[in-house]
Amino acid sequence: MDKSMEKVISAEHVAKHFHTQAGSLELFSNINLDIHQGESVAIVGPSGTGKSTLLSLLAGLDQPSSGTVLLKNTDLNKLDDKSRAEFRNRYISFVFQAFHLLPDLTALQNVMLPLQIRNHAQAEQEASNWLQKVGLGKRLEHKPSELSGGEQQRVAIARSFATQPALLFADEPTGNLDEHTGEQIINQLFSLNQEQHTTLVLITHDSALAKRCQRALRLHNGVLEEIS
Amino acid sequence: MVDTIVLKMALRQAISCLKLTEWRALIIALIMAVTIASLMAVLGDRIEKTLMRQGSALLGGELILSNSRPLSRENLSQAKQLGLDYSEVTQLATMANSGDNFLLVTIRALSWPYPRGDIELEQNVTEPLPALGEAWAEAGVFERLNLNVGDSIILGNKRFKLAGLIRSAPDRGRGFISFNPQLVMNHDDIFETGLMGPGARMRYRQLFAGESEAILQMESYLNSQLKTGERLTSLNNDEGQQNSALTKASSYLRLGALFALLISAMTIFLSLRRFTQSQNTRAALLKSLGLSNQQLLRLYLYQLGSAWIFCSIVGVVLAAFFEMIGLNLLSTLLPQPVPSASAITYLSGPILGGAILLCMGLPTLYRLKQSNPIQLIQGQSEALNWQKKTPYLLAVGLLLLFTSSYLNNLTLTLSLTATLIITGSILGWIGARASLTIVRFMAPRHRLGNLLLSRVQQQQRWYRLQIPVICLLFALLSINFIALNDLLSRWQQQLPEDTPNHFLINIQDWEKNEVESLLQRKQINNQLWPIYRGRLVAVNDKSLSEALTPEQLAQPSLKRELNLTSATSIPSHNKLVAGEWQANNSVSIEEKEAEELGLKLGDSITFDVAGEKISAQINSIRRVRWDSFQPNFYFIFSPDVLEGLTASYLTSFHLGENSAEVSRELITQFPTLTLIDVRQLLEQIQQLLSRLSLLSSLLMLLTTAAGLVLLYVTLTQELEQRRFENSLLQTLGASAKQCRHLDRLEMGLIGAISGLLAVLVAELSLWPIHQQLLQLDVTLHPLLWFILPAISTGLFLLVGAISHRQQSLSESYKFLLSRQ
Repeated sequence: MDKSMEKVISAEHVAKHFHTQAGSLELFSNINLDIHQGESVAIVGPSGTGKSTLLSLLAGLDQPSSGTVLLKNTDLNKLDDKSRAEFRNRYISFVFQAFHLLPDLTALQNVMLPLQIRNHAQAEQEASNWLQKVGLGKRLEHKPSELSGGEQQRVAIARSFATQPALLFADEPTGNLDEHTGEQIINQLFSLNQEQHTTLVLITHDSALAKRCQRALRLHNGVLEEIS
Repeated sequence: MVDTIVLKMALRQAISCLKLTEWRALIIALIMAVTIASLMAVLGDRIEKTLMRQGSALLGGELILSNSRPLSRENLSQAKQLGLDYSEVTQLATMANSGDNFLLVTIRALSWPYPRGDIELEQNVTEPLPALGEAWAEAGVFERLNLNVGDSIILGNKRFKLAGLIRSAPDRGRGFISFNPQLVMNHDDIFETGLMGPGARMRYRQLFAGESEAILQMESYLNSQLKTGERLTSLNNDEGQQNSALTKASSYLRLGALFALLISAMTIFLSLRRFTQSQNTRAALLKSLGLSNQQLLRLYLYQLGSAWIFCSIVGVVLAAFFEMIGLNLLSTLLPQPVPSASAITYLSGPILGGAILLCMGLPTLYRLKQSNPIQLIQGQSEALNWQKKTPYLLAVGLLLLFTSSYLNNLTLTLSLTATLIITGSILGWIGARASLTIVRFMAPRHRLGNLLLSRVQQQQRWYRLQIPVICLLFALLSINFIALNDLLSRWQQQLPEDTPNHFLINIQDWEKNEVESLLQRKQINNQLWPIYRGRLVAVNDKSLSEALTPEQLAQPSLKRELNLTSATSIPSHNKLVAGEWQANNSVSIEEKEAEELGLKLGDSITFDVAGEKISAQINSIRRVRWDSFQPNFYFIFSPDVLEGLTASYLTSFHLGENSAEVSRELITQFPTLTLIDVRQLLEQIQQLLSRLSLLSSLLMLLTTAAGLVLLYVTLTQELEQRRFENSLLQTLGASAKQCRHLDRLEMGLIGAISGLLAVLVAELSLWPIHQQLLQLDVTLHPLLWFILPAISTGLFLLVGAISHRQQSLSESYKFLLSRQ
């Protein structure tokens, strides 16, 4: 990996703890991580270690208890709500395990959603192109309930790439799919990632999937260590 | 037997559940239902009791014969023979005068004490009737004339000492005359007042009471002797009382409560449904820990029971508070003191609330039997099955039965409920479709249009409930408010500036010239109308039974004496619609009267005027505006027809600033005249209507509060879906502001649609009310078109803001992950 490439995520001394009735609960206290443009990084680790929390911190959705997270050299926590939302809309996308499509919108309308938030002039055309790319050109007007799980996740992938994000975060993207479909989805995710030169950060339990990433990190007992 | 462990668990659960929105909503809705049901029952009971106070005591006797002409004294000898108690009452309205102050009062002159019920005075007086030269008066007379007991008052020619303040009295009479403050005097005094001239409007009554057998005999005797114009009322057939304005108001209040009760029942059902759903996992857990289905059901029933007890106590206390306000509003209308309500009526709220809770709760809680411990192992909770509708249909039927027994009227409850449901369904359908159409139009034009469309599509079924509830509430509130206000204000506006505001009646022939010259001296425009009282007896020389159909014979104008007059031309405030006025042997008839009696131009009609038959030919038909405050007549004869008959005279005129001076002069110079100040009458009607309006507004406000709780509950029903949408939107790059914007767009849209539909419903309902009932010109109410949508939008936005707490970005993300 060419380390001279632009650093898109830079986490320094990141700590996160929660206040519970039983007292303060520390998930991690000193996480340091740099991720560069175009890298694919997998975060693995047992359940409950805080992978999803780390992802939300790296994606600027949550604030660390201490330390800083810079996304494209910007500290999102220093921005106001509007600028933060604009930043997310411009640079960040998510793919979820449960797809999270809106049930009453068609595949096309679901993909159009982030483009409409951005006030994109050709939202419909753009969304349609992306659905063609993921092989759903004939399913534009179908609602999620009329699509298979794999197809739904492909709509979600089209939605996440439609805004041409710099960073794509995926939380167990194949968790709800069978092995075969999961593999197809992953192939698609990686090929689009390469094509779009997107930075991919994904959480997974699947070691095979982790191996396909350029870097794999393991979060265990509050420590993040590089495993490959 | 009460299972104490389960009971303790239930109590703990009832308290800890207070943090759940749905449980809190259920508590509030139940309190509302109890409060409204108790309040209406208690108020209704107290009003009815006031009216029916000790049955016969209110009427003054068990059998009452009344007429506008003196009654036969033979009846009294018959009563004496039968061993009955009896009394005679002469009642009339007149102007009482004390120094510079005048007041329209109703006098009752009694020959003997009332056979049933006593006149209760504030003072300790042992005599059952006022002594000669003395009168007893109600508080209104003292207050309005600023007098004290012992002061004197002039009635007609005679001065009376006000010797007693009436606390309560039977036989207040009914109808318009009963609204005046009343005075009681000895029958022997009435003749000396000179108020009983030929044109005076008297009511004569004979009242009887005694053994029921004797009363029955007396009733059949009186029935056999019944003369035209006489009316016999017994306790059992006292329709007048049942139809009196206040009794109607009381049933109107109870019916008004129906809407509030239905709304509360709906809220309770929806909160329970959501509560049951939220308890699914807990129920599964309790089952896995060894609780049986029976124990589980008992646990939740105890929990509901504890809520019911709490809500009943709070509801009854609130009802007592509102009862105080309500009675305060009615204090000037109800003869004081108002009897207290029976304790059982306070319980009607808790009983009805319990019935709602049981009917709606049992089938709902029963679903918890389905909760399965396996879902705990699988880690996801299954949705409960709500498909079976039969228990709910049964529950609703049972509820309607309970409600109708509360309202004492099954047919009315069912028909009103059906009307509300049908109107509500239509409004709901229109509102929901309108929301969809508007958003479809907006979708390609607005950044959040598609999301709004998705939201509106999935919320359709809730809109079908939210829109009609708010719409009907607002429409009813506006109709209630506008109809009563318009009745008086616009009626007055429609009258020209110089509309007569005083009527002078009972002018005798020998006073006519002097009255006229006094009025001329004061430069008061007026016309004296001779009044002859007569009854229609023949048409085209055939008796009425031969000449008219049974429907025509049933017309009220044939059952009483009419005021007839003569003139040399048609009055300028009447409009000729057919024929032509003729100076000889002619009569002009009012248009509607002609239509109702089937009379036409050329018919000859015969009247009995004080025993003399007079006939004339109908030569013209007139249109009359009865609300013009001018003297109006069904029949106006050419002067030759009535020549030689004794008449009294009446006139009406407008008095401006010199009103007090002219009134004083008239009453002093002609003490037996009756001067009616219309402004005072209008004030009395205005007071009556505004009090009733305030009381119904109080009820409507309570109903609105119930409606808002329902709105809140319906908005929280799909809270999960709304949270999901907002969370997703935020992770896709929408700001919290945009999410709030989406919520506001939706709430604003539904609020505006509800408000606009409410305006439409109100305007459409006011149309016939204005045209038919109030006989006013139909106009739109432009202010309503702004106010209702604005208030409705505001309320939706407010309730929306309260029910959707905006979540932070990290909460949104965690929420999305939790749905994986």
